[in-house]
Amino acid sequence: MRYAAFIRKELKEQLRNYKFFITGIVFAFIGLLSPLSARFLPELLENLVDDNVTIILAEPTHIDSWMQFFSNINQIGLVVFVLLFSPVLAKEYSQGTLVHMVTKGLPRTTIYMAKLTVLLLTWTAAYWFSYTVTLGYTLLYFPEGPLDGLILPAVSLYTFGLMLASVLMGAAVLFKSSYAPLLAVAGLVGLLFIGNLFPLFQEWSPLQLATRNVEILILAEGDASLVRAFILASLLILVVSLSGAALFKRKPLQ
Amino acid sequence: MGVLEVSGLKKAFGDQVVLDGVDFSVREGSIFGFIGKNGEGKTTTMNIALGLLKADQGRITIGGETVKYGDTATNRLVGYLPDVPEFYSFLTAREYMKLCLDVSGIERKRGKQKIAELLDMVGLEDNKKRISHYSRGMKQRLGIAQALINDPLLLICDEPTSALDPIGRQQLLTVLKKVKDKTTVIFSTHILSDVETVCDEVAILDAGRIVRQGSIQELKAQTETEKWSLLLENEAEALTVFSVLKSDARLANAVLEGCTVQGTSPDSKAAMKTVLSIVHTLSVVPLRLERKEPTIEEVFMEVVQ
Repeated sequence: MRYAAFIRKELKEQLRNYKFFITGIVFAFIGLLSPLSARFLPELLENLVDDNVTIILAEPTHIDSWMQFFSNINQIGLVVFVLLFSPVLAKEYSQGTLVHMVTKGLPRTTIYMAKLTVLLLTWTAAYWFSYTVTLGYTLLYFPEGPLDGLILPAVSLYTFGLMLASVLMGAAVLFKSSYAPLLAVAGLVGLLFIGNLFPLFQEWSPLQLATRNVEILILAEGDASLVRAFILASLLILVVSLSGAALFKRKPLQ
Repeated sequence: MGVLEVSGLKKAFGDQVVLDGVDFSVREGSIFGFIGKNGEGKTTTMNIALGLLKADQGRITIGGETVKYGDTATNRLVGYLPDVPEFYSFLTAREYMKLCLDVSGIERKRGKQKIAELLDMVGLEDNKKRISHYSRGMKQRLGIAQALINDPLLLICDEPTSALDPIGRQQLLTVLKKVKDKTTVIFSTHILSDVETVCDEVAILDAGRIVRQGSIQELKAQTETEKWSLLLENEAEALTVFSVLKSDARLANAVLEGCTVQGTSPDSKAAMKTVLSIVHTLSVVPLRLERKEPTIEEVFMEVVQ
């Protein structure tokens, strides 16, 4: 009952401060933009350049639509999501609003888990909503495109998003500033990119979940390296979430 | 055993010792004033009692149960009102109260009615107005209402009147008096007139220790300096008497204010005998001569200076 009550408060908060609205708009835009840009970008480019210049572009396919989707989610969706939800605990720390909850006997673990749940649910809803919109418009513009092999690359990027959301929440426990969790997530992604310089790290890196989506879509199957990435990302989600909860239990709230 | 028992409480922040063996007890059904200068450790003591801060040493019990740092089970017995309570400003008062009721883990039976009763008691309208539009006084009253939602055994108020105007202060003190029948109250403040108005018992914290504890009457009786005051018919008479009184070493601290001459003495009875003998010698008939009871402020100043 306490967990549900705090989740209701979190949902109401995100609804009333327009974060759900902004997330919905951004992810709907990505969902629409991806197939549209894949379908009409070649024609647009042709119209823009001089008649003396000839651009030879391959006929767009459903692959281009999904390529746009994965790229837009990485470059816009995840960035907006992390930016919007970075102050997930900072505001509570700075205003001291959690003190009333804790002194009512609400366990800190419940607060942490409720906030994490809402963060993960928001990512889940936004991501799959955007995916569904992209799927609908891709089928409309590229009806010949097959549906096979779509789930694995989509689940890969979704899992990567879950991992970043968990890190965001864990970092929010550690740092009291609004921007520090944002920097922690950016730092992790930066480290993953640097780590990719080493072949052994590359084979285990969870970054594959966000960078190999088109390749997986074309091949229509994963490989051992991708499985390792899934395992490592899942472990990271688990470890960060559990340590975040444990740290939050000892965190001074004033 | 008291509702709140604090024994041997020590806390330092780095090299700065804030609490250095604090001991006191709050008896059931009382309003307990916890006073001290700013930065003396009142809030630190309360935060430890709420499990929000870890003590270096010592023990606090509430209703016989020991308080633990972090998730302390004793918080189910407690209501808490800070000096400037902060709420989820996107909620209405009713929504916030309902959240408090739900997170307290109390059964919702009668919940709706209880919320209405509490909002009514603190004089807040049960409407759609969001807390973001509330004044400071309204927030403080909502603070009291939320602190009482779980029918606490102990209400901890940390300088609840410091940010309020005189009307807001009066309203809050009235509410505190009302809840006293059901709930024991500990109330930290440096507004000593508030203490005198509502508290049954007082503890004075100074240099990390409790230096005095008792009822207001007991504390006043323990003061070492007593006040006397002499009212004369006119300022000329007052000046004459004042100049003679000042020449007496025992009354050297006498001051003149209009037609009144007053002073302090460790033994006001003896001082007044001297004053009477002087006015008799001068053939002056005073309008009034009285021994004045010290105010709680004077008691406090004597203790901490």
